[in-house]
Amino acid sequence: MIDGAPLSWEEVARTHGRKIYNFAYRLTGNPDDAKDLAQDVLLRVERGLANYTPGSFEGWLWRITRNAFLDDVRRKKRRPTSSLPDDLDRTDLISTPAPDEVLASIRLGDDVQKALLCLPYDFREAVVLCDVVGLSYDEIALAVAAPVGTVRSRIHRGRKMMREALS
Amino acid sequence: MIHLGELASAYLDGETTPQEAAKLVAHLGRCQLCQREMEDLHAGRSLLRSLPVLEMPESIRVELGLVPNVVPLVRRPLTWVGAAAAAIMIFVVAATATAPDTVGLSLREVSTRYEQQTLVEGGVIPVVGVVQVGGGE
Repeated sequence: MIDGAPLSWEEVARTHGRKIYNFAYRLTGNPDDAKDLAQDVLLRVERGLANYTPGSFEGWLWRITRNAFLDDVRRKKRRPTSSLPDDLDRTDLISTPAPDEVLASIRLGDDVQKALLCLPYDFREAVVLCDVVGLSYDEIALAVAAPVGTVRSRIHRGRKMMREALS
Repeated sequence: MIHLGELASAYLDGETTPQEAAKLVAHLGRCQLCQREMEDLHAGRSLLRSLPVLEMPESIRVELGLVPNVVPLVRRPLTWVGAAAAAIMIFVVAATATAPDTVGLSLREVSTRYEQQTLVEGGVIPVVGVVQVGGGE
């Protein structure tokens, strides 16, 4: 039961799968790692749902996602890649703006992604959870097991680092 | 308050208390440095929020068994070939099962039986290879 309503694994995958994948992509910077991570997260969610106790579902879900990512990093004994692959499949984009807008968006998106990957993990995670996933500060605090004040500081400093990296 | 600091980002996200927001607005009115920082933060935040949203690859759902793996259309003709082969096999087996038991009969007896069946049924499929030539009566 989640927020009083039953939620199956399939429903979690359908309603949160895209967010999980986008979080994974922005954190890792490449589609292969993002796919592996999203799959790992969904499998952990399947196993964890049986023991889920009603509370902040978002906090629970993103804690699982974060742990999966950190476990993956430890396994690989390396930091995520710092550049986008050349063969990035842009057909995954949901919106279909005009071609010139697409080109501008890709260049801009690549720059932002590269800048994002330059951030230390804690700051990258905070800004991605806030600006990409759209979580509140309270939800982020639950997900990363840190006080709200720390989250506020990480988001602020992370954005400042982004601006510096892009300028 | 000296300068806004992290309160600026929290304000942009609607994560300040009413008291903090009031202090921030009052400070912004008299501090050009914080006005510029606020503009920079707003720009950086907008860039992050304008990143394209990616669709989760369908292969993830397929590999996790969340959707059935549909057989591509191009493979369907092979399915018909298989079905046709199966139908032929069933026909042959059925014809064999319903064919007269000729094992152990002489050629004359087999010939006589076939002539009788041909007259009654209008023809049957002869089963080749089951006649023991030279078998004793």
